Amino acid sequence: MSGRLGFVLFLARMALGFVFVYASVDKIFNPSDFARIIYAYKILPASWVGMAALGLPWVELAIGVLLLVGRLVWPSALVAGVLLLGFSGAMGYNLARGFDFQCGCFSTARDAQAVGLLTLARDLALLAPVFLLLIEGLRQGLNPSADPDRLPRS
Amino acid sequence: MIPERLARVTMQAFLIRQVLISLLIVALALAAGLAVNRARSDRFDPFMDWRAAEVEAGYRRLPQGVLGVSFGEMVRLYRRPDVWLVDARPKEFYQAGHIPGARSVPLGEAEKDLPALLEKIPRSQQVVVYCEGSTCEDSFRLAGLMAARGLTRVAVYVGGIEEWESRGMPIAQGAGG
Repeated sequence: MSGRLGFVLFLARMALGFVFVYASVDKIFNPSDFARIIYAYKILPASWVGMAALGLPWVELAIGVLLLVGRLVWPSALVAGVLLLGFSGAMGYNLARGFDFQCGCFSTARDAQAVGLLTLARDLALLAPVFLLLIEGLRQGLNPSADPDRLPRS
Repeated sequence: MIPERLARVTMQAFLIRQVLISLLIVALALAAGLAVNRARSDRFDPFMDWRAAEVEAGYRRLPQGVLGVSFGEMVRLYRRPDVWLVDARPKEFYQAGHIPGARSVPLGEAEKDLPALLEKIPRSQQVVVYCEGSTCEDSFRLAGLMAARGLTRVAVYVGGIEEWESRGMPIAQGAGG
């Protein structure tokens, strides 16, 4: 791996990790407020809202920390990608049906930003480091001389 | 260079292993969330019915001079021909489905439409305003505007069209009144 690519991957990993850790903190401390925001998206059934509000921030924290410390990077990036696609899909769907709704991305405060196209674009932009990490991980997965922790054990 | 078949098997094994680890990370994070929640003094109920909770919260943020209407009361008022039902959502939402007999007064156009409407409504007329559900603000704001302009019997149907529809009540479509 060239030094420049290594540096880009390091930046991608740190940026993504920081964003997910930062996004999780307020929601972990305020699950009720986060549940209210999820409910207002009107996408999940009302009975799933509580579990999502409780679980999602911890998943964000877990993958954020793993990305920052550089362990289990590929599966963490995969989960990050799935989450970002899910969040973007939910936002896009609600924007398309003309809803005025709160993002719940980084803050659960009632006066926090409402979702607009910029919020959606930011989420989609975060997919760039995800793809970078996933593609590089796949490349290493095929390379027998790469980090043995990333390779399948037969 | 790895032979093509070996590369495919290697790739499959890599993907299976990584996806399983991903699922494990998610499961462990969920378990950690549940465990920490159990230990909290302000424990959060993950199985709470959020629709009911949000309707209840809606009653607590009613504007001054505005009453809240439950589903049962709404059904009773709906059957009374003298009650004015007002849909506070944008026009396209109203056209897609509204409570039969409701008039469309989108909050965004209330400044323009409200004076003409208020001229037609006697001050003591029972008016019920609704929007999408308990989390939308439009019905609360429009009802507040109406009460501030002198209507004495303004109410908000807190459950909104969402609750109305979920209880199998009739829905009308089109431009309406």
